[in-house]
Amino acid sequence: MVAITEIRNARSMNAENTHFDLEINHPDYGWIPYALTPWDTDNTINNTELLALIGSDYVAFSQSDEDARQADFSRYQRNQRLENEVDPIVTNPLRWADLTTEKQNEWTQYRTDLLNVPQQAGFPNTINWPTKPE
Amino acid sequence: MVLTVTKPTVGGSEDSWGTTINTALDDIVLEINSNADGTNAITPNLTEGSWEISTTPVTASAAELNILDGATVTTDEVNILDGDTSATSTTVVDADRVVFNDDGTMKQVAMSDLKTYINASVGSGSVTEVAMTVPTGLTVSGSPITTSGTLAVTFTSGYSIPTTSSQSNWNTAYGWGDHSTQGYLTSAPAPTSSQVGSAMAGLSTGAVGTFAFAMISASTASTSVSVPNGTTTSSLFYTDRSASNSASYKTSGTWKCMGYATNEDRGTVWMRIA
Repeated sequence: MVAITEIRNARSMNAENTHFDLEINHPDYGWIPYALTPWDTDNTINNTELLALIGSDYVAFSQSDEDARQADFSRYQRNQRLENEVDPIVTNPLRWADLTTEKQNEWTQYRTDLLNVPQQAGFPNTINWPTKPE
Repeated sequence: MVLTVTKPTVGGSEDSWGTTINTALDDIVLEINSNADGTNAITPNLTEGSWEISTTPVTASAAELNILDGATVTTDEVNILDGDTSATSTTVVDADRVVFNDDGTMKQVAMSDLKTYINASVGSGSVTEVAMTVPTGLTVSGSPITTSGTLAVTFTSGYSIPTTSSQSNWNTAYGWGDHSTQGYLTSAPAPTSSQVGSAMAGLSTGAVGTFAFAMISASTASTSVSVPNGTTTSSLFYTDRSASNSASYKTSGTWKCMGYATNEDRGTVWMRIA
């Protein structure tokens, strides 16, 4: 068990105020960032005591900030799909030439659907990810 | 008192005078009576041990008896000198006297004289300096005192008097006997590779000391890159390389970057350190 006696810059990360990003003064590492979550099963640091240290001294949870983080993350996921799934097909002339016109249309539509993900009604929290062609 | 002796008459009758005998008795009577005023006292010549009082011979000499000449001593006073052990409470004052043997001559000496002597012999010594030494563990200040002051004793740094509770614990440990035979560890051997491996294998996902392939969060990626030994500024996300299933798996605690992550490629290897 590592005893933490100082914290700073706490920010609530959910509406229930059970998830915080903060900095702790660690006896070995000094001031380091720390994510306090209710699902943490490690007991090296007593999160209950950390919550007591935080008390009411934290920046309140912001839904708009959370939506922005989620939007950025969803775009990142979209970009990863484009980079890892679409680009190896459509940017390779030999592989692209081997596809039938029907498959080329499926990949073209898949790429278009990925690019249009931010325009979905549930974006960024509820996304209907398009299906990658076989 | 005048002594009168009737001398007997021999040969007389009612009608004639007889001869009076023991005429020398007249001289005896005269001698006794003439001493009635003490002018011609009879001086007995008593010999020690030859005269008695109530059949007890008096053996004291005249010189010895004359010691009492002029004595006004009472029987009680003489008895005190004879070892009487009874005591009478008395407030002693300077004018009181005690019987005192002054180098062979008995005297009465005033208590004031004794007080003067005792003070001169016992209580009038002079001290010019008083010093104190203390054993290891104690420190004394104010020593020596040459006029007036205080000798203060304190603990030397690193020393103290153990509390009763501490001593009780020590006594308990002492009662356990020779501790050198109890098998106490004097050094801890380094864990073996298999022990470390087993311990690591027993850690659950996300525990301090475990590794994870995870991606930095959007806020972190938007402001910085993660380099080896860097720590996250927000939660990581457990992920596959394409980040297709990452959103619901956030990490807890503090993670150290063991690889490299950027905004364009956020996934890398991390180790939880806190």
